[in-house]
Amino acid sequence: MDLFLQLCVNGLSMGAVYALFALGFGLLFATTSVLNFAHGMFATFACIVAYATMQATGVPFIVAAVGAIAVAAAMGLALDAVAFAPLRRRNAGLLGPLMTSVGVWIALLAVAEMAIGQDARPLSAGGFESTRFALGGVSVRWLDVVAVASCAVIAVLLHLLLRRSRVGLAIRAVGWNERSALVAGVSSRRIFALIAVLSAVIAAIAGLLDGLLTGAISPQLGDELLIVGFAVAIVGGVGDIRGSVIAGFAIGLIEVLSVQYLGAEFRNAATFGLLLIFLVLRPSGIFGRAEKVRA
Amino acid sequence: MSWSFWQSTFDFALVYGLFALAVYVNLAAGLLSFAAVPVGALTGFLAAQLAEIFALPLAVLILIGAAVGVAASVVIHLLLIRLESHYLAMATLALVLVGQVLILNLPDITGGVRGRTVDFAVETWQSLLVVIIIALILARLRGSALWLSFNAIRADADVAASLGIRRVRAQRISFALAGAIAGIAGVLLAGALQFIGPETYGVHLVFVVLPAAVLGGTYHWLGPLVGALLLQSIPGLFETVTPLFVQVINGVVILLIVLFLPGGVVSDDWEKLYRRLLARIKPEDTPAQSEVTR
Amino acid sequence: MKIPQTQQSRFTRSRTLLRWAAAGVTVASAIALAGCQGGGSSGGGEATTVEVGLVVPLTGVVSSAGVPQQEGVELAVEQINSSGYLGDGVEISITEADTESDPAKAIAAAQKVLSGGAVAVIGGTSTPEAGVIKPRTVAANVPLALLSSLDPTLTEAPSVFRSLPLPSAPGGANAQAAKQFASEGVKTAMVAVTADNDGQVSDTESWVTYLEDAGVQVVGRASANTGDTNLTGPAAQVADANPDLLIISMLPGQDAAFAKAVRDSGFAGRIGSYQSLSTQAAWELAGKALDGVVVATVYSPGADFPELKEFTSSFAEKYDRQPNIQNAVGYTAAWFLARGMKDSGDPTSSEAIAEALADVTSLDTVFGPVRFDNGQAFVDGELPLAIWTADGTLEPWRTQ
Repeated sequence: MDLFLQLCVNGLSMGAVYALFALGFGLLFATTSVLNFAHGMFATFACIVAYATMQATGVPFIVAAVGAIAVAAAMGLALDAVAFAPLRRRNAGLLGPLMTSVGVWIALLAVAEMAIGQDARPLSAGGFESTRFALGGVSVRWLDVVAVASCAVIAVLLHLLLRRSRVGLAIRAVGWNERSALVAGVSSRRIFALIAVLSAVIAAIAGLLDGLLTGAISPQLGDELLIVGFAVAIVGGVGDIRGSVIAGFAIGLIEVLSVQYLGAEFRNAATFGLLLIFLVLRPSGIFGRAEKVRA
Repeated sequence: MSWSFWQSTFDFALVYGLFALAVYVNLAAGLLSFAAVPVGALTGFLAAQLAEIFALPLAVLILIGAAVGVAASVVIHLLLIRLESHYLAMATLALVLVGQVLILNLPDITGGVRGRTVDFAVETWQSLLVVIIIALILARLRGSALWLSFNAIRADADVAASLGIRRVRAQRISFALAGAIAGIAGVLLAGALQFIGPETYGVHLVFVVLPAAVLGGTYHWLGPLVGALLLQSIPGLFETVTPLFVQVINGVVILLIVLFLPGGVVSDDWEKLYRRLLARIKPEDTPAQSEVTR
Repeated sequence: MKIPQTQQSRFTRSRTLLRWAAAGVTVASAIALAGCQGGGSSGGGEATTVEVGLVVPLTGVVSSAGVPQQEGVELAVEQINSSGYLGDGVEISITEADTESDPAKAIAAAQKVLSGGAVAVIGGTSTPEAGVIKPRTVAANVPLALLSSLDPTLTEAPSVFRSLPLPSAPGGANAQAAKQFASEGVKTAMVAVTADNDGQVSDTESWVTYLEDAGVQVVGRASANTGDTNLTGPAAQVADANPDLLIISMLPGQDAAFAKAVRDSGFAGRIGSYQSLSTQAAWELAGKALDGVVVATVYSPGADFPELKEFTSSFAEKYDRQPNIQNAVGYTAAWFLARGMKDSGDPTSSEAIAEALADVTSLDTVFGPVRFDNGQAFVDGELPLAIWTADGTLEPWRTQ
């Protein structure tokens, strides 16, 4: 029983990371209908920048992390400006931004490998990641608590932003119909920039947490999150905050438990089998609205 | 670069081009689907298994591949029929991942983690012949009522419906046709590699095939073939550059083509681009736009 | 729905562009088909240059093995050429081709070196790559010296050789380590494996066999997939089961991460590992968690073999760091080929080289003395194996 609870703790903290990743991905998709395959790169590069900064200057992790998040925000803006904005002007639909994001992804993946090579590098917050406390028969890392808490806090903040603020209203307006929003006086350029930054920052945080939780970073870090994050986004309802969080935790748990009780070979089967079932039976996800996507 | 290297590039351009054609056929009917990859996986492993048990000639394997491809694709379409645009794309992407897991967990047929050898080989002329035949079929179809119905659905499904075109039926036919092509492509890929495993028909194949389909051009069947040839040639053209940087070039090429030639390489975007450049340099000399804009 | 709509534009309707596109494809086809007949090797050229192809992943996920292997090969070739080992004026020239860790590209890489006139090929860092390279070298009648692919069914004299003794072979590193552990009082064990990698899975199976043969009870199996970084689940599983011994058989990078995760989870038993947990990168990743970890490797830094001492000092001189097992794998493969070339009497003939290689029965290597059986190297004596120390170095676990 203790092992089961221990695994649940691990599953929840990893699930928090997945949920965060899906939130960022879903935010962009729900508001702009863009499937951004380069989303993982924010996570990867946040970790690389944090690692490189600490190696080069020896600053504590938290300082490096702030810098890394700032870099990710800049990347988000740049990506939007280069790959998505020109296509928005053209009304390019589904395929255009998807393809540009793929192009950027391929290029950035190579850059990541040029930066740190293929060997996994350690990521450490000065030992904080190993500190633990006992809760019942289970050993919980403080980092697990940080991960789950970050997810909760960011989810709540995002909800408040989108549903209870003027900016959020503007975001939803622009996502629904850009032209009408313009007529209403919304500066769509700034809104798109805001969305890009938010999406990238959330992904960066997810990536840094992932790097600390696993103790290792590599050029593939973001892509691993992307694959699962994409499943989480679908199961939870793309863009739905509650859904992403619940689905994130659910899939985190399913992964950890299926590895233990079925074996690692079946982990993907469990996750993607679940995804497939949802897609066939309830494609809008747990909480998604079954509206037709205006493309 | 040696002949042999370019020949190998060409071999894979043909096979990836076929996969890209499958994606193209679906795109022509308004659907973005990656089902070509798992279908190819199915027929590739099936062909390898059959070739091991019976010594079948390549032509037979190809025909079996086409038939199984059609069947599998129709089943997939039946399952995913309610999904729209993005969701169909994501569902078929999920299928690729599920397919990889299945391959991993059926070691008797697929060799599981180890992968398996493939007892038949595919020569360049054989792939070329197959591609030519399929191209001729697609060329014939282009002016047909079926293809026109695809175009109509793609332009506006509701208007098409009001014209009596049944969307679901037409899209199922596109799935079937794409499935046949993908089934053949799967067999040819197995023969080209002669060793296949869970990674062969994985997510990475999706991101080789999709750019080929989109970059080449979504208007004409030549597009995906040209796209595949172009993308496969990049490493050869930039031989003196380190492979990682070649990947960067790869990504940048994809980005640039989508931005500047959105219809792909085989399209009239060249003309449009030329006009835009001309307009910037010499505004007074630009001839009047005579074509219908999209 | 904004998937691009069709419009028969003037351009495509006028067929000009289509004609260009079709012409381009036709020309490419013609060239490629012409290559079928033409495109032979340029022959041996001068009698003094022996062309050898090196087909390795220099980029991509397996490059962490491929790059060190290439370094080892380069060092070996330098030594071979400068010492005149093959005779006066006879030199080896290496043509490298990057597989980019992609079996499809490995085919092109193999064909590139073969059509460049290689009389021998060194390649096969991973089993999928080896699997696609082998049919090509066999068809070209060129001997292949494998690198780190672990598939025992690949070797076949006189076409395919492996100068690296397999850890999983009877009497090999795994078997010897298992016996040693049993003799030191280990009663229960668990194995941790990268479950979707063929090499690791069969390595693990061998461990289980040898441990059970030695009287150790294997109580469980933890697993992860290639590229997984979240290892807390399997680590917790090991900590919970608390065996006397944990055997880690995982891909490089994951093995170090798992050792660390397992120690973090509170597991205090002994740890043994597959040969890859022996690099500087592993130490950087896992740090103190590696202290006392035994590595079942034939490559034992500090052991008392003259070839090893020589290799270690030349490598340190050239690259300014200590060599690791992958360096040794590349180095040994190259020297093994050179032995075949020297014995053959005609180093520009691939057939002669292949036959000579098949006739090699024993060789003194950095792993100690090995014997060959149908192209595969085996060790016969007691292996020193290796164990990590608290300050990040590897030393022999036991003396020879």
